[in-house]
Amino acid sequence: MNKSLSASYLAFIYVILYLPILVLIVFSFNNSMFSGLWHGATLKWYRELFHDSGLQVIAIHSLIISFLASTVATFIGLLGAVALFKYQFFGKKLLNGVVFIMIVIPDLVLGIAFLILFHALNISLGFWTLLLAHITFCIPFVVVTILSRITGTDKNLFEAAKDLGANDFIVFSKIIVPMLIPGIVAAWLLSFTLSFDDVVISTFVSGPDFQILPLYIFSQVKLGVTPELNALCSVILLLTVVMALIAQMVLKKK
Amino acid sequence: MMSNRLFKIIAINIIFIWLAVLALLPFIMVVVASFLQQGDENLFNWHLTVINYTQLINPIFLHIFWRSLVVSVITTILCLALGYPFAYILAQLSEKLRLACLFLIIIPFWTSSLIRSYAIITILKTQGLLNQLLLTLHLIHQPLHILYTQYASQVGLVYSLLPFMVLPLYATLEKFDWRLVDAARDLGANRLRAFWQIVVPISAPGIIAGVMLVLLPAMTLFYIPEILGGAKSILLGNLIKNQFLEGQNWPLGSSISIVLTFFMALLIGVYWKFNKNKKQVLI
Amino acid sequence: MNNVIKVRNITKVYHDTVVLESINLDVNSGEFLTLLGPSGCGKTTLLRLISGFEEPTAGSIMINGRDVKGLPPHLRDVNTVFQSYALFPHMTVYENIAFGLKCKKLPKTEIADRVQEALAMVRLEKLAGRRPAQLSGGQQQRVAIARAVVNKPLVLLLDEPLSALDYSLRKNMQIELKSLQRKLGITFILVTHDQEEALSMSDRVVIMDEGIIQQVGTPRQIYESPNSLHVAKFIGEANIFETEVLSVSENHLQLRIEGKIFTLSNKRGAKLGQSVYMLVRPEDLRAWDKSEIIDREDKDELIQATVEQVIYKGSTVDLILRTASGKRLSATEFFDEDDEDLDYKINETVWVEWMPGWEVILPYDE
Ligand SMILES: Nc1ncnc2c1ncn2[C@@H]1O[C@H](COP(=O)(O)OP(=O)(O)OP(=O)(O)O)[C@@H](O)[C@H]1O
Ligand SMILES: [Mg+2]
Repeated sequence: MNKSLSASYLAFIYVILYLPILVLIVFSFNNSMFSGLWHGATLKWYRELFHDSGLQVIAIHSLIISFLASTVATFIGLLGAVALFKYQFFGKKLLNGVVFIMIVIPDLVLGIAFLILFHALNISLGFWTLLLAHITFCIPFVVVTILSRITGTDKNLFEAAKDLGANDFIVFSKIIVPMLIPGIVAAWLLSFTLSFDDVVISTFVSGPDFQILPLYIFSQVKLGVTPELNALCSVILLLTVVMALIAQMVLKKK
Repeated sequence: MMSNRLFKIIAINIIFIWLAVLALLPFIMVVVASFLQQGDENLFNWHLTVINYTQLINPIFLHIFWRSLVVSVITTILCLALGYPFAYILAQLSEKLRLACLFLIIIPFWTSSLIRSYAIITILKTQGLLNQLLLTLHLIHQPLHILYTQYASQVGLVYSLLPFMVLPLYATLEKFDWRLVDAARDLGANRLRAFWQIVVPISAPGIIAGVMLVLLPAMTLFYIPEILGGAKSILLGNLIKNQFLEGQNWPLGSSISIVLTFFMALLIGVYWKFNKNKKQVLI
Repeated sequence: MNNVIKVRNITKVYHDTVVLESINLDVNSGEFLTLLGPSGCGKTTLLRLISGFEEPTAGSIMINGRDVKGLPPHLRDVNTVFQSYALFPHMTVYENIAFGLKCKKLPKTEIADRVQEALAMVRLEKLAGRRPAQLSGGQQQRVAIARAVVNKPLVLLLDEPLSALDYSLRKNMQIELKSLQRKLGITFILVTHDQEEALSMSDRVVIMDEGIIQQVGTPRQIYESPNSLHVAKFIGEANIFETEVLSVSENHLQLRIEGKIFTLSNKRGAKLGQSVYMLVRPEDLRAWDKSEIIDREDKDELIQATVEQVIYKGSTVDLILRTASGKRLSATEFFDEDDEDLDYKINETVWVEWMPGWEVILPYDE
């Protein structure tokens, strides 16, 4: 294929993907409440954002949920990936199957499944239901990310450690975990952003007492575009881009 | 050794129990719920019934199903048409350039699709960038009213889901042995034939994975039609969500979800059929 | 004899590196030609220029009397058997072989006939329905060959077709390829790293190095009269002596080798005082032990050496010898009727000679 044609096609797709985001960021600095036209730059909206105490509470809620969810999910997912890699056990196929299904099933179905479960168990919707749901939907992504890393490592390493007298706890903490650090970090970062950005599942499992950012943004978005919302979205975008960057850098180092 | 047994038991059981209680059990509950009656006081009435399924054969629902299917198929085709050449070109770039370009396509994958959908409002609205551009180019004389129509939600779906099509396509094309194209050309195939008979069939697993990652979300990402499409463009996802959060008919919502899941299982079956010789993880 | 391919002054430059430089080559119709050379010397590049996957930076290629400049691969009358085969994984053996004929839009019955014929030729009739992944290496190899020859090309290009096979399979396939080529009468151009393969299969061998052709000739010419030290070293082992020409007469010259004077025929017109290499192949060196040499009068004119290593190889014995000056020689001795017990002992002294005229004398080429 023609080289310049290829290059312009790539550029075309990148423009489509990035233009809206750039426009959003640019307009978060726009010195006008409603206009779609440029009225000069201002930091006014960011200042307002950081003085909005209600919003701060919601943001902190979100950070707490995402931090806890990604940490617990990474721990469980790591153990699970190691188990799937190292051991043969009854129900291994089932576990593999559930992990696969959870990745391909639409979030919506997962959301209503959680809702029905919590209803049946009579747990009222709020912090705990959100946390449990977020941990659960992050686990499969952790398992897949880490599993793809372990399968590249040498099984003999574990045998060698055992041969030298290490038990499985030591092999896990002194060999497997240090070796998989890049994968673990990447999995944690991925879980954090998945949790932090989740709208669909949270819609079903959150209650009125515990608001989180994506749902707040969703409710605001329905009211239309405001520069303050642009500012909020820009901050979140920045956060996730930084996370994606770190994850890529960590994964590339071998 | 004792401690080795203990480690194995702990490692396996934590994830096993967690996913059994918080994933498998709720899935089963959805299936059960879809066979229960809607209750008056409680949400469920413990009477087994198939009414939630027979009820679906109703012009209103059928219309929404059909519309959802059309919208998501169009989304998938557009994503494939835009994404395939993209992945094809990407896979042939030199190593260094490819990593940079790949990273640029991974970023949208990581960023919130809610925020990205919100971002295109500014582009699509009546005084938005698109209309201004078209007006200055004299392609139109009146601004187009795209926002809050089903076209806007169509655009939003394609825009949100394109990275999900590109990544699996890229993953298969990256592994593609380009000498096969040389071999086909050597045997007398022109470029077009080599592409259709060699490249496309061999990248079929990637195509199907991409289709799976786009087709189902396109039906169920309820917030995109809600933000961009306005009231008239509700899709299957909105229908299910409304049964749970507004209509309070959970059994009906469950049965629709089960139908959707069957549809998904069908796609997975096709995926496995095409991919049975190779082990490959989605995404 | 007519030339099916004429390569004239071909130069190929990638970015700034010259990969091929002024290559001239005529390929005779129906011959088995081998390109031999170290890795990276441009063999694959030359094949790709002929098949049309690359265009030369300068020069021209004629196939069957027609300049093929700008002609895409699918319109050239050549087919390629690729390095590690490039079989289409999603097609059966049958479909793979039929691919080229379908591209030519031949009638279905003719395709079926020709594919059957090709399958029979490589003895794979029973496996027609299998996928490449379900075949062994040797079977895949045969499919790759059948897929190419079924198109009845004028020339078949084979890029290291046997390198992925293990030793004994490779030997068998060499024989099969050779007899196939005889039967079909198609011109074969084969690329290989393996000098033994090149010598045993080809009508002519092309020795390449760093983008230029070093020598073209029959295997025998290449082996027995290499025209440069490089070629000699590349083809087989050689004992190399560096020396000077002491005197020249009409057809003879004299060299001092390991302290002894040898009078040899001067085939290449070496001049008095010129620095030369003298090469002798290990199998041309004879090593006599004391009992064998004791009666000979000329024994003082032979080079003496001690045995350092004895390696038995079934039908031959390889000796590593060391001369008084410390030079290492290798000699291969054959078991035959008049020399049944080749019984060399380590540290034993032997007398070395070779049949006059089997040596090669080359000028210094630096
Ligand atoms: N597309 C290309 N771009 C740049 N350099 C190339 C390209 N193809 C080949 N080369 C260079 O040209 C030289 C010759 O390559 P070629 O593949 O012809 O070698 P070869 O003789 O076939 O080696 P081998 O025996 O290893 O297959 C090498 O130095 C290689 O690096
Ligand atoms: Mg090569």
